Amino acid sequence: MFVETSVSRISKYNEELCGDNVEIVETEDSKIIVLSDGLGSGVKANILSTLTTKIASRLLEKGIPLEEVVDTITNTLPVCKERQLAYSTLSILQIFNDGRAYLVEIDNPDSFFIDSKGNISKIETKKRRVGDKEVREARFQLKNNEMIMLISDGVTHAGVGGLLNFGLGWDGIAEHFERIISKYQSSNKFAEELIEVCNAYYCMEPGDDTTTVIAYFREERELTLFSGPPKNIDKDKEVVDKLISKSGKRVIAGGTSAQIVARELDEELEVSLLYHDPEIPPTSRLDGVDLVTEGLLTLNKTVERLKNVSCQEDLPKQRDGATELARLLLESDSINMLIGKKINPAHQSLRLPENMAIRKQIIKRLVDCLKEKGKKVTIEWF
Amino acid sequence: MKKILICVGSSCHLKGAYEIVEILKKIINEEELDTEIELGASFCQGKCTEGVILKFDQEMISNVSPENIEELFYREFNKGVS
Ligand code: FES
Repeated sequence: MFVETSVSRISKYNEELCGDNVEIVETEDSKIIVLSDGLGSGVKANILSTLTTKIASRLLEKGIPLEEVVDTITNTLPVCKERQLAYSTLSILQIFNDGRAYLVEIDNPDSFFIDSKGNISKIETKKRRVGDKEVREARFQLKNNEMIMLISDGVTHAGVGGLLNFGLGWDGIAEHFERIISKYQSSNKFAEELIEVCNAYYCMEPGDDTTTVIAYFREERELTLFSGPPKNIDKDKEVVDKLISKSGKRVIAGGTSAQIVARELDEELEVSLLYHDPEIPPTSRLDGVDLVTEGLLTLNKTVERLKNVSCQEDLPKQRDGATELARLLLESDSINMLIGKKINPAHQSLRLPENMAIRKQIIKRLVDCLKEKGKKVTIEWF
Repeated sequence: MKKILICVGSSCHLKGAYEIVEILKKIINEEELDTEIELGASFCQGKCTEGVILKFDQEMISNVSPENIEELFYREFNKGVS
């Protein structure tokens, strides 16, 4: 299973630094999210919350048990004496690959539990005292397609000093969030939209740092992309076998590559004449493959499309090969590329700029771009 | 029914396959030939340096361009007729 995480935030109006801090740590069998809100805003708050999340995540990374980390931090976090001293809040959520989850909250608003149908509820916690702090803890089991959202109090307070006297509150946020979930698919978009709502209630002048982190527990989405004929024709069959044996989505980028697959599988390749975009050659259809596009030009355009967006919902509503490919890539968590090294002599005669014409370079740009977006990418060259 | 296949591979695309398709569609439309001619696409025909490649029925025609397609179309289309 896979934990998709998304963070979205805005700083208090006129503050350059955000006093909220989020760290996400990956261990071998789990993902850990740490959220801290430094008292006040600006530099002091930022340093405090950074310290808190850094200490927590470093300790967790080293494999120190969560309970111990919580105790260490609560005992060392300075206490606010009439706001004389520095102080920051803390939430830690650890989700294991098998769905076991552990949540700790110290002075942050209650986290949100979202079931697979989009219904929101509070997570039942047990209270315990560590030093002079109250720690809320919960252990529970997540199922496929369930989510947890952590927030800083800037979220529940949205509206104070703006549209509302007391802010949206937990229930108000839950209501807005249910509506957002029903409209989009990616947690990236959920988080972004919720922060937009908060910002609007603050009349675009947030009275506090406002942060939301979403952890989305679901099946890992895989994609295998085959592009470019193998250097040695003997390898054709091996590559096609690899493409077909992989679970998840399958994509071919390249006319010659598509012909190789069609030949090996003894399937009919249907080429269409439908142009959704004059700059991008039409796509084709092949049984057992989710998308077949032209190679060179489409891949270049795909990188362009990807650069401009952070999630699939932000892509243009077009169905050309590049946009479709970008959508499939954004929807996936791990991407496996099978790239052939054979040079197409025809491309040489086109006198394209080097970084556009050489497959290795395009693939490199594509991979860089995908990694930046947090995708796991592996490449096999043939 | 005659069949015209236009190569939509990378090279042919860069050499104007899209414009050629548009011009052919226009001619077919204006001359009301849609019952006589079927347009289709093909992948790289392995002759990229001589693109754009077009197949008129079974005959392969190379070096097609947006500039010469109209003339070429009428020449090929009338071949079988006269
Ligand atoms: S792309 Fe048309 S022949 Fe190669």
